[in-house]
Amino acid sequence: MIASLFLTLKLAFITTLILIPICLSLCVWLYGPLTPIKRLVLSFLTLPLVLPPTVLGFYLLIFMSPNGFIGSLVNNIGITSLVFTFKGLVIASIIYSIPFVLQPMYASLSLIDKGFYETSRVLGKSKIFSFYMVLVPMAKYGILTSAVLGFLHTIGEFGVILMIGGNIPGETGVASVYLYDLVESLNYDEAHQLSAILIITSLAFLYVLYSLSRLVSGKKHG
Amino acid sequence: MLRLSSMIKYKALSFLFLFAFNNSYAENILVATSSNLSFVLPYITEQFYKESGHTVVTSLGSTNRLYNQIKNGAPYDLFLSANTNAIFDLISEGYIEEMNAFIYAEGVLVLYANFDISNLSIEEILIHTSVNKIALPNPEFAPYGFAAFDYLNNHHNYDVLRNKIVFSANVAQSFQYTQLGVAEVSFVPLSYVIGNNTSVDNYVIINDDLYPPIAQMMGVLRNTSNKIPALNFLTFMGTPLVQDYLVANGYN
Repeated sequence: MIASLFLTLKLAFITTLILIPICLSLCVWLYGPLTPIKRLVLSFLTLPLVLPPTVLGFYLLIFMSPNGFIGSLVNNIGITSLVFTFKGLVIASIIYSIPFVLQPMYASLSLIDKGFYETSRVLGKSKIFSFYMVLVPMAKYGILTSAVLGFLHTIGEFGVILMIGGNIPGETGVASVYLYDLVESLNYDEAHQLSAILIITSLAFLYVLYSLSRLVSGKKHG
Repeated sequence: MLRLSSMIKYKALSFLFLFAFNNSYAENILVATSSNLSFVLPYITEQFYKESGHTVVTSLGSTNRLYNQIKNGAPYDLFLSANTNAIFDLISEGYIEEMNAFIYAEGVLVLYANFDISNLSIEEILIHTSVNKIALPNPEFAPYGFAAFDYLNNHHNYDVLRNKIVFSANVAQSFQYTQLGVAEVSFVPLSYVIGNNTSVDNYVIINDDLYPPIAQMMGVLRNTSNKIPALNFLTFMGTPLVQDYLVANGYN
């Protein structure tokens, strides 16, 4: 049980760490009027939010198989297999959690008065500088929300991992799948314990997040 | 165990007379079904409909999950388990009456591969250099997985194979892993390879003396509101028509 929890935290941490810069870069590009191509990309990146995780998992399994698109792609750089490996879970988690990181980040950046950004541009700063040095600090609570949601959503990831994990202890045997196995094995005592740990951890993270929201923008939310 | 099964079958056959009474009305019966039966049930329920006029609605799932649902009040009329334990437990807990339960089939385990294994022994297949992963349903809760695990432990060197083993959530997933080539071989029910028209070069039947029997039991739930059609279906499962069909499609 402890090993599965540790693995889950490691997966959630790495996934979040990779997703934050990816989504920030996406937001740089998405910032401003939503052109059709931007709308299409945004819609596409929101798909994991609405697709059943087993559908996502099934196609990831196909794509990651040795003859699949991703599988043969990574084969060229010497990675023989992604299915049943931690690397595979990280890739799957990034895809699975991207809307949860991108959405709050994009929303909070879009809400900021464009005047700040334009002022910075008029004063001769580059697009990238204006984005990171002016907009990002103003959207720090939204970005923190992104990080926490991405982290927690990865902790709760189940259907996708069930499809591509193979349940190998220490490699792909994360807490959610372990919990499923406990319930399937009718081992309710341990299942209750693990559920309690997951609920309390997630609750604590969310509580801290909302506490921070008061600190960051006290006047608005307080 | 085997004798017990035929004994209970005959007991169930004594319900055959019930067919005589029920043709005047048609009911829907809801059957909780272990997913290993997914390839054989469509034909069986179709035949049952032709004979009785009752429609069988199946709800596929893992044996333990369905067992759990039944204990929590799921409105099934019948339960087709992949083992005997779940039914015996439900009998002792009063959810099923013993006289309304019997062993309808015995599962057959095969080793399925995504390459031609017709000239190899099972040991040669398992340690084959092209085999990186061996999939089996999780033995903790899946009856076919338990049989495969027991077989590997007693007749092969499990410790040598340990790093190749991956556990799937159910038989369908193990089969899928090998179809997609992510696990080159897997332990699955014979009914799956037959149901998918798999070439005989791609699977080998495991000698059934070498693993504990996968006796599959079914029972009518005590609280069913469709008792007569449900009993009819139970009886129907024991008829030569169904039993011969099961044997032809991967069961003993």
